Amino acid sequence: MKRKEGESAREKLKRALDLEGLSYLGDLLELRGTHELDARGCEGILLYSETCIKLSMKKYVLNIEGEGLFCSSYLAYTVRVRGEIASLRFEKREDKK
Amino acid sequence: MKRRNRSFPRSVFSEIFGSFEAIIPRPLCEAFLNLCMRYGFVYYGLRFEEDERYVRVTMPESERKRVLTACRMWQIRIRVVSRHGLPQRVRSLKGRWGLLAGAALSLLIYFTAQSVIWRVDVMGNDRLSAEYVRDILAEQGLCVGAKIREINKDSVEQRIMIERDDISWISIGIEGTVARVEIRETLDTDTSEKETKPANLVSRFDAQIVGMEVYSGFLSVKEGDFVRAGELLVSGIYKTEKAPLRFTRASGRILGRVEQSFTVEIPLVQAKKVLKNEKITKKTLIFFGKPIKLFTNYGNLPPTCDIINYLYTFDPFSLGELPIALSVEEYRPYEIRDIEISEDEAIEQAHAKLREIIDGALPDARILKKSVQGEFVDGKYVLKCELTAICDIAKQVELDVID
Repeated sequence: MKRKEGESAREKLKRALDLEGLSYLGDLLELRGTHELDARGCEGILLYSETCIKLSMKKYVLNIEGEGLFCSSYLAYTVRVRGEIASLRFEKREDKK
Repeated sequence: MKRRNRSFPRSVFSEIFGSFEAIIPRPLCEAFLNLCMRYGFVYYGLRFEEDERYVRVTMPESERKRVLTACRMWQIRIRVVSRHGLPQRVRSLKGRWGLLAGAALSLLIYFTAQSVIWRVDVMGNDRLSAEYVRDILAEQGLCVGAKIREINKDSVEQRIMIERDDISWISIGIEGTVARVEIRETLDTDTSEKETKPANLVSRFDAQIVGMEVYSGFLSVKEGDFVRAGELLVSGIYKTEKAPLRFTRASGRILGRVEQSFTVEIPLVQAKKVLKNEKITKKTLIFFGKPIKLFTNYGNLPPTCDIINYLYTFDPFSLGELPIALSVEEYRPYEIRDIEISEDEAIEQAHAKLREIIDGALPDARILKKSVQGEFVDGKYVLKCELTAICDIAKQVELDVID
């Protein structure tokens, strides 16, 4: 397999063994239907209301809009939001610009 | 706003381990949530109240102190409004240990009381009193307060029938906490034997025969005869042509005219028992046969005192006596004093005593003539009585027949 430009040997090995997904350590959003969202990598809650929850992720701010929203759990920087999720919006973090 | 109900496992968990509700001002809601995320505090039931001025949250009781400390440190105004669950209920009973102790004692008594005898009912007794039968059963271990598990009914029945001559049959049944005992008494052999033993009728007094009713035996006297005390009236021995001697138990009524004299002396100075004003009472609670003293020691009792025992039993529902009784012993000290009685009192006592003597000596007598004379002599009142009466003068005297 040819190494891509700028790719280290380690990354090449991961790609060859198809382990890229498992070794990913960055932000991860997992949406189940329109009722449940797991946001991994959340550093804090910026706004909390039933219609809008703003989560501060590593490189951006995640806006979750909908109805009856609430944070059901959070563990090790992973927040679970439940409710009727209408939309997800990504905003650039002002301090990371 | 939809209110989400807690799941059943969470409800049970929070009920057992306790939970508390707190309110946070709305602007501090996000800071509070971030605090929970930072420290790993668990919460549930987060909701907005009063037009979103406050946020109400429920958290486990075990985290209350940590949460309050963290909020104080991060200057988040939080106020605990209520606490729920078992720990809170136990805390509310903190100053009322008597309530818990009483409940525990009640449960202990309830479960213990089911395993002991509450009452012993005796049936089928005629000559023997129920108390006597209960005493016999108590000797064998069956009594109020005895453990039901430790009673061997068959063994008790066997032992009583072997050891007791006055009980020919006994059956014991235990229904719940009541022991029902049925007995059959042995026949009174003494009485039955006595009724067949040969006897004569002899005279009790010196008398003149005025009437006769003979039920069995052979008459030795006739109307008008004068007899002495001890003289044969009706014989229980008779001869027949075929047998030399036969015996029977003579019985009947022989009426005779008797003359008797009685003398009664009543001293004017008598030694009488005078009760003192003091009284000592000792109470004992009998609980399932076990005595529990309710008094402290009174030291030595007075040398002379009357002892009166009272036993109060409880039957509040008319369903039978409860196995709880109050035994009260009263000690009434007295002293013997020489007391002078009045003449009227002496006369009254003398007449009462005379009546008693006449009734004892001549029961069912028809008095024909009676003269009574009384006088005061040497500090005594002496009453003399001469009477003539008609009464049954016959007395049965048994014969010992030797073969």
